[in-house]
Amino acid sequence: MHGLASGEAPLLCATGLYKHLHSPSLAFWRARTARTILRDINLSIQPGERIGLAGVSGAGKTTLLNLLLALKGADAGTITCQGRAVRPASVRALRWYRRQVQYIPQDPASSLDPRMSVRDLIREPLVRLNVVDNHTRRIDEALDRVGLDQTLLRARPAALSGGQAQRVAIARAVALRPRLLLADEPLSGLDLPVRARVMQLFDDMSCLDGTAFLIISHDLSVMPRLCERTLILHDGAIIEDRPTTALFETPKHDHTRALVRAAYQDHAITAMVPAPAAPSLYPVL
Amino acid sequence: MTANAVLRVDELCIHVDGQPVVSDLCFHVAAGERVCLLGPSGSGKSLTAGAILGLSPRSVQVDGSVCINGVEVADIRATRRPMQSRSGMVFQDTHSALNPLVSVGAQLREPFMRFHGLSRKSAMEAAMAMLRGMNIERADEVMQRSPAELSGGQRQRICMALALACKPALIVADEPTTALDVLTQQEVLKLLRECTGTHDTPALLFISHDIGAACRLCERAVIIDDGRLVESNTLTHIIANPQHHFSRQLVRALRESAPGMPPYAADFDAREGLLCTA
Repeated sequence: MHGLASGEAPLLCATGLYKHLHSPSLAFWRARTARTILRDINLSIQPGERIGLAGVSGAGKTTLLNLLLALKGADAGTITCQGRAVRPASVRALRWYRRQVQYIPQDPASSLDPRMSVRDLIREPLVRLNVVDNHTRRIDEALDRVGLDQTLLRARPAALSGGQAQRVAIARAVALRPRLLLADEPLSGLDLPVRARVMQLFDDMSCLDGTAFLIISHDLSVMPRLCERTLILHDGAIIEDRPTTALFETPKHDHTRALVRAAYQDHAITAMVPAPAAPSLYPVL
Repeated sequence: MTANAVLRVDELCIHVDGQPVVSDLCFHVAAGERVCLLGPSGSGKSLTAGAILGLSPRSVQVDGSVCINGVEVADIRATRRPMQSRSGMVFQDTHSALNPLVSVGAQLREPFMRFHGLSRKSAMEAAMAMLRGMNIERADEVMQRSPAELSGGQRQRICMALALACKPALIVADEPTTALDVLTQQEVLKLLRECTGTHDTPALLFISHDIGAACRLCERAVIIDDGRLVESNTLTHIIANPQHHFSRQLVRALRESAPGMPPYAADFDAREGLLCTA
């Protein structure tokens, strides 16, 4: 509904996705009960567009992410990437899709292989996905983009701080020059300077390279800065799909209103206590 | 004021494998007070909580004094502490705090039978009332379930019910909201606010790195960095005028918590941010 207006084929298009969860028939309690995790999800992403996906835990964010990453199949509905159908298949058959769509995990510390050096970690997807290019140049370029030092190339994940690990995870995705990045809580657990850096990186990637983003978070307060459009997922359905500012100003759904209020809370506290007159108290970090 | 301190920590030093992690930490929590212990990750917050609760592993050496309700408990392990010096505890990881093989009801009636000497039936009723007080819908159904079948928010509320059921003088909550989504966080904070901090409810030591949550719950904060106390004041004061480098960073993060957000929505009342003032 959003994308097709521009006349260009959307980068990623999901139509009528349904996903049910069946408890195993052998479970001795509540055997064979089914629950609908996602119902009628329609979503299209244009090149360079940044979309936020917000919802509380249990809303179906992770399930939707798994479907979009073609890790699991939908029970109904289709996902297409630039007009080509995507469905879970062998690693080999999905190489083309993996080169287009990459994922930034929420908890990089546990998703990076502790036995590999940073260089190997970033090179791994380039090798596995048969990227025909100078890998060393790609690695250097990716490191440079996320603002990490070359000296870290030999380090193992255990030696990295949380912010560095997060940036290695981003560099791993960026090295492939993907068309779409799916980021799960990309800013949580990062301190302010690193946060600003990651936000700047996302800005650059979407403006200069036309990379699209789908940013998943349970907290709406990161959305206005990062995304032009925000979807609210509630109980397995998309209840709002509007420009972020409109969503903040006139939330239509009660659930959205609650999320918007929660996003304002921290800010409201500081509004009650005025900042000291001397601005020098807050040095630019 | 300091005479009726529920918790008094004096010159607390913690060594892990011979390395000092916390040094010379002094603070107190008065009866019916809510105090927040703030610090960056790795600053020794959770080790301090472990020392206060008597849950430190053997490799951790605790020196100094921890006084709960007038009893010196620094060298006593949690299970050997005298009754009046026991405190309630709420942790971040609710999966490991509850027994996965025992139904919620059976776990929750335990403190009522053991500490208050109720019969099995009336303990069950008391547990049910407790769950209703925690805003849990369909409490009777939840009582039958095992902890793994519940959502994170429900489990955290059950942990709080368990902590409150023993009617301790102090509750230590170690990052109880970190693993929850924003709306559940709000609810857990609201419940904690309602259940603690008056003269007939327990005092609260809230351990967190989230200054926003701390502001909505506590009046006073103790900020530690690198195992040392760097600032201790009311939160209103700290937000208006943070002194230490780390507190400035925290307040800055709070002020810039929502970059690019439009001004308050028409119906939003800034007071709902709920700064607790002493």
